Amino acid sequence: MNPLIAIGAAICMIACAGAGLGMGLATGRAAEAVARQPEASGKINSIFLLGLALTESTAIYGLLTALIILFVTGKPQ
Amino acid sequence: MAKQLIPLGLALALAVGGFVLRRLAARRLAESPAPSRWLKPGKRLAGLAGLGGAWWLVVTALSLVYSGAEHQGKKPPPEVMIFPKRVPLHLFGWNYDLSSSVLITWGIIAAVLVFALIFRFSVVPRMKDQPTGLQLLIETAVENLDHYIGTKLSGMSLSFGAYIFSTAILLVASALVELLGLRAPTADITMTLSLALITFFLINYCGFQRNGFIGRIRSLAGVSNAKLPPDMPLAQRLRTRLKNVAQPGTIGFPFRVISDLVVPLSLTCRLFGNMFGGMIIIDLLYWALDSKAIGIPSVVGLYFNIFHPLIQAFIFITLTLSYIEEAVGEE
Repeated sequence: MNPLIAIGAAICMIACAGAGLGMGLATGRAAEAVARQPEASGKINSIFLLGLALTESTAIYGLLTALIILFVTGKPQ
Repeated sequence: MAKQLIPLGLALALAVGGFVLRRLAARRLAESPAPSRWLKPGKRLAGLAGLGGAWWLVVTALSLVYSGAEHQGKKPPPEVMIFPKRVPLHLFGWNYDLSSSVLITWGIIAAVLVFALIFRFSVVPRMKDQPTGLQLLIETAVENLDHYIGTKLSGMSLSFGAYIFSTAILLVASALVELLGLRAPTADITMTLSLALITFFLINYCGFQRNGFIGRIRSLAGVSNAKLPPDMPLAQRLRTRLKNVAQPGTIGFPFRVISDLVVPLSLTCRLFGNMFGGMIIIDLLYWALDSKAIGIPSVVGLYFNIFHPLIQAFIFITLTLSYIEEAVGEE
């Protein structure tokens, strides 16, 4: 396999850093919100899960691109 | 042969010794009022050693039984296919070339249909006022779903409950098929794309139906959809409309249109990426563990094959409802 292909796949996975940062921020804020208003935890929970899903999708796009680079482009001929 | 029995004996000794030690430690913990500091971690360690010994025992025993089937040298990495296999079929004098995920989806639909029919003819005729067993389960599920949809969309809950529930069942069932060793149909981009397109048409259908053509454009442009009083003079009416349009938020119109058009793409890639990623991770785990893939994949699969699909089904439904809510707008 061309080493450049592996490097390209690795660069794709940088997307995970941003997604992790975003998810951490969201989780922290959700915990704060529940601590401030425990009775609203149900509503906060559903909003939190939704936001987490939207944030996670960036990491998923990165993973998908990396996998396609590795297994489709980098397939040994 | 005798040489191969040594690791087997060692593993057996480790497993039995670990569990016996754990038993002894547990008994001493229960008896003595003030146990020494090392007893509790020791018990845990002995339990872990016993578990590890049992695992090693099973692995060595199986590799003894299947010693001829083991790979010689380095195993090639697993073949990853973005699109599932094609299955050539010859039915009623016609040749078909179907994707394997279509066949698996038909199987899932048939299984769900059979379950629903059995449920319909065995449980539903004997419904009671005081629900028990399966009736209680299904009533709780429907009630919770209706309540959940009602918090998102008011006034449309009954017609949406059926579609949302069947989508959820299909998503969960097609993800759990992976436990049988088949490729999940949701790990195929065409399946997720078709589900996302249904959602896309549903969003726009609801938006146009509720607000009308002009109202939908207005809500996309961020212009107020409020009705003007009918006795307002024409000049003032025009002035109010113009004032509503001449807002800084109106500049966002093209971006809102684009983000609406991207919805099916993002839904597709999210579901497909999650399922496909989970599948590849499990495949790579089996490849890396090779003949030792006993017990460990089931622990990992608990997350990737059971928890993850459930969460993804929930997210797909929640996103569908949220987009519809956004399109319908606040009344």
